[in-house]
Amino acid sequence: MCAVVDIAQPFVPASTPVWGRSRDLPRVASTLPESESLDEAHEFNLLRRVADRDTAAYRELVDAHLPRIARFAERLLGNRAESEDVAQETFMKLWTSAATFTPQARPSTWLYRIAHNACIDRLRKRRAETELGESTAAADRPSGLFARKQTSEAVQKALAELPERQRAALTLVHYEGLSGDEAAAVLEISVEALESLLARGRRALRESLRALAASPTKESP
Amino acid sequence: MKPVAPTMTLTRFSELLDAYGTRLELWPATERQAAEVLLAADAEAQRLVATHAPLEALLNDYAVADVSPRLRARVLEVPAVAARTQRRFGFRLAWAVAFSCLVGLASGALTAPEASADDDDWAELTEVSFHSDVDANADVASAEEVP
Repeated sequence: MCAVVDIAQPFVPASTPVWGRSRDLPRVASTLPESESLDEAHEFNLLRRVADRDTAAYRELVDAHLPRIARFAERLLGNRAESEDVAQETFMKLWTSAATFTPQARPSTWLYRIAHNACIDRLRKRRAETELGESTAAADRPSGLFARKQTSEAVQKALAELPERQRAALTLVHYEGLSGDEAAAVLEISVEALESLLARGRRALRESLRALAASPTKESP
Repeated sequence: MKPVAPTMTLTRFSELLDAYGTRLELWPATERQAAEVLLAADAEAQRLVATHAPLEALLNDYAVADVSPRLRARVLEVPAVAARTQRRFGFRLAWAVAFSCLVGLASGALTAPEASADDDDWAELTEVSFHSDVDANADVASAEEVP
């Protein structure tokens, strides 16, 4: 995992408007990874024990990674119930397939990859169903409103409109705090390809959230 | 000798900003220090960061709820569920094997009388065939005896 920089020392120059700092920083803490305390060697050790059917090791891995996997799935799917199913599937796979794990990447990367594949399957299935005539309710949501909940919904909608891989890349790096190397390993692409996905995703988001992105300057006293 | 600070072009700075956003801790570790140096000294780099800050703030507004205790309980139950599923599978497999054997025995028992009738027929046919061969050979032999 990438090193966590003290958020009291933000990467925001003095010239950045006050709203940019005040809105940005306090919530960053909630996006930092919980599993930072698990070092790589310990993770491998836990996985070996899980392969030997050690439920205590399994519980430790669940406590370290379940919040991240569930959040990742929810941001990819935009649906809480489905993301919970994906989280359960991911840990079922961990329990049943730990013995077959090949240490090409660290176990957390493997878990993200399992969750990502499960999400892609569901998104494809959902797309097939939508093509058969089902409509999505997301289009009916209000936009251009400035309350945090509505902003959150607008961002969720904008993220949902991104191509799957751009959304996955942004979620892994921006929300889960994975380094470029780690996110690229999850998506099984090069770091250059990941950076391209991230840049295209951010550009698309900036475009679709243009009205909201401009609003804080007007709203701030 | 004074260490030389790493350098970065504004183009590379802009590329990294486009990809990773304004949180430096997400930038590649090997390029962070150079980015900090450039950011501290270059007004254009600072302006670029300022243009990306609104999107960053919006993205940070999209929070998802914490994992529910119900989900945690479901996930922690996975080993027990897997064991139950495995036992059930083993049980079903055993039943399937036993059922197949029973079906095999039953069908064998039902078809057995027909098989014996066939055997009788076959024996009869063989006998007829044998006798007809013997008769034919006898005919040939008697024909050869005729001068």
